[in-house]
Amino acid sequence: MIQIEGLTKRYGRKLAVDHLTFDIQPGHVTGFLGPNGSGKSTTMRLIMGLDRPTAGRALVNGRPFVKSPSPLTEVGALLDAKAAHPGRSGLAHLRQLAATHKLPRRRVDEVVAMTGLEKVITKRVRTYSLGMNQRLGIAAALLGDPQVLILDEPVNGLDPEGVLWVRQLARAKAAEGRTVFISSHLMAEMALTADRLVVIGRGRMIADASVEELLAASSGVVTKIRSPQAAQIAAALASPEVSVTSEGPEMLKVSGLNVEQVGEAAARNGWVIFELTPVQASLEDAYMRLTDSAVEYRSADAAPTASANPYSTTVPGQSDLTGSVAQGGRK
Amino acid sequence: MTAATIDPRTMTRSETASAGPRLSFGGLIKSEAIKLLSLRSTYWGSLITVVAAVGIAAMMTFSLAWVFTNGEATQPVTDGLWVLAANQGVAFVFAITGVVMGVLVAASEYASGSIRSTLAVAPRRGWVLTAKAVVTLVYALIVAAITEAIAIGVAVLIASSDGLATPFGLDGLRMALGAVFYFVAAALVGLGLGFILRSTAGGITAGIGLFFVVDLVLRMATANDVVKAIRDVTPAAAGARIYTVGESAEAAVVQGLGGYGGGFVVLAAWIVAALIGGYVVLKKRDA
Repeated sequence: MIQIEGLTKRYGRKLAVDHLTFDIQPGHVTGFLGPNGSGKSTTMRLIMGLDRPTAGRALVNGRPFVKSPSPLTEVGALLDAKAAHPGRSGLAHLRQLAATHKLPRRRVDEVVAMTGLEKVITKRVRTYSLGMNQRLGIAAALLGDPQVLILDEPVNGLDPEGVLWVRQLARAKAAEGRTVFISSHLMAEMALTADRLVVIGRGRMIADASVEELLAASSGVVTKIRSPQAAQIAAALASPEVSVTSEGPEMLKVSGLNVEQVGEAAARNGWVIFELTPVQASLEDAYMRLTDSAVEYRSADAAPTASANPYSTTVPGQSDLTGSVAQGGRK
Repeated sequence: MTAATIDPRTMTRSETASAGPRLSFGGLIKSEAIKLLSLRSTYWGSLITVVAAVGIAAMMTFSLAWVFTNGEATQPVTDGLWVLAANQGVAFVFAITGVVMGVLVAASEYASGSIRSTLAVAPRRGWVLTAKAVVTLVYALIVAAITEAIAIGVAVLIASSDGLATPFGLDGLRMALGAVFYFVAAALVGLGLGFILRSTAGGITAGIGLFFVVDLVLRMATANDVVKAIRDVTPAAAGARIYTVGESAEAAVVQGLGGYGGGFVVLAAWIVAALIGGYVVLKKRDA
């Protein structure tokens, strides 16, 4: 269990983390999402006591992590794929970590086997690929068989098999009743791994919800229609609450009406309908909309609209999500 | 899982039941020892220390022996003279490689990012620094003792092969111990500087500046009482008072800092100051 209470971190003039408050419950995988530079890594560093918060606090199992009598068995963290000395072998890195808590040598061999590093473990870390570094970091995080797992972008640089393995690992640890907190900037990955999502942008909370809630809230109701009378239907359905866009000669996309409502209207008006499909926005869409105005490092082609109202999509509760998300739009 | 529902009695019981692994200072010492001994740079540094120190010591001994064999010496061979000759070379190398070794122990953690994994498993920063200091001290002591022993052995070999007497005496022992301590001091001051500056290049520059440049500049300055007093407390001058006997054991301006004992006191003060500085930075600044 991790409790984050009003956590704030300022680096010089930059507010990296801005009054974050949320709980990370055991027995779940909590995904931590946000664009690059949104404060995810900083938040994790604050939880681990590596950085001192400007205000607020982060508690692990009811106390600051630095006060833990057994840090390695309480929290296992992958904070940075490059957190091992390049001149040391992976084995020496794990052995020195294990030595701090007098863990048996057997435990080091176990995590090496778990992460599939047997063949390279005696080689120097300098020679490792990003994926191997990532596996070594995960091995280090698992070393103490910890109650809490904190993984910062664990799937970076991993092959598909490795990605699948991390996903299964996270779910298995959560199923054992442990607390699992994983950051990513990829919504699709988190959708497959996490039960709950905490989304931040520019250090601020954007959403704290289940995957389903987030999807429902941000997709709205959209229906696709294929009909030879597309133009006639578009004119009839359009209203202040309903927007209709043409997707092709016979295709329409109607926002604000579900399939039932469109079907009834078609029956009343005698329209010929070839196809009627409910459209669900992808999670990726939802995420893009949520974080659109909170992107720190924008691609060059995007309009600099962020400065006008940077936090237009920041919403305190779930009920507000739909409305504020709609105005965000995609870039 | 909320804090309010935790019953202190059951918590105590469950904690004793699962009295599993804990972070301990002994464990940290072992961890730091593994870290130091698992890096090739440690062995390279030690090898360079031995080779360079013994090599320059041999050269110093050769030239002093030459003075005697050519009949240019006005005094007879004194106790520990060959240790003194060897130390002229050994101390020069010790100050450099000692500082480098100490700086590397701390700064390489920042250069590689491994400080984050270190502090993630051992968030007690005071323990981390103390463990590093203990391991550095022990390792430096071993390297310095071996190097000094070889250097003295080579010096004695050179002198006796020229048919010169090689009395060791108490002075020889005092100078040998002084040289060993000088290396330990350089390493621990380097460790403190590494923690303060978090940069290998910065730490080495500062350390070399402290051990060489300050003394050099002051030697060129006008020798008034203030300059003399400052020179009493530079690591180089303090070191010279313990790895040589006689010539540098001149009376200090500051009471109690002169002579053999005073040299140890000054160097110990530098160690303490550097480590306290390192501790404050490690404790206060974000990792």
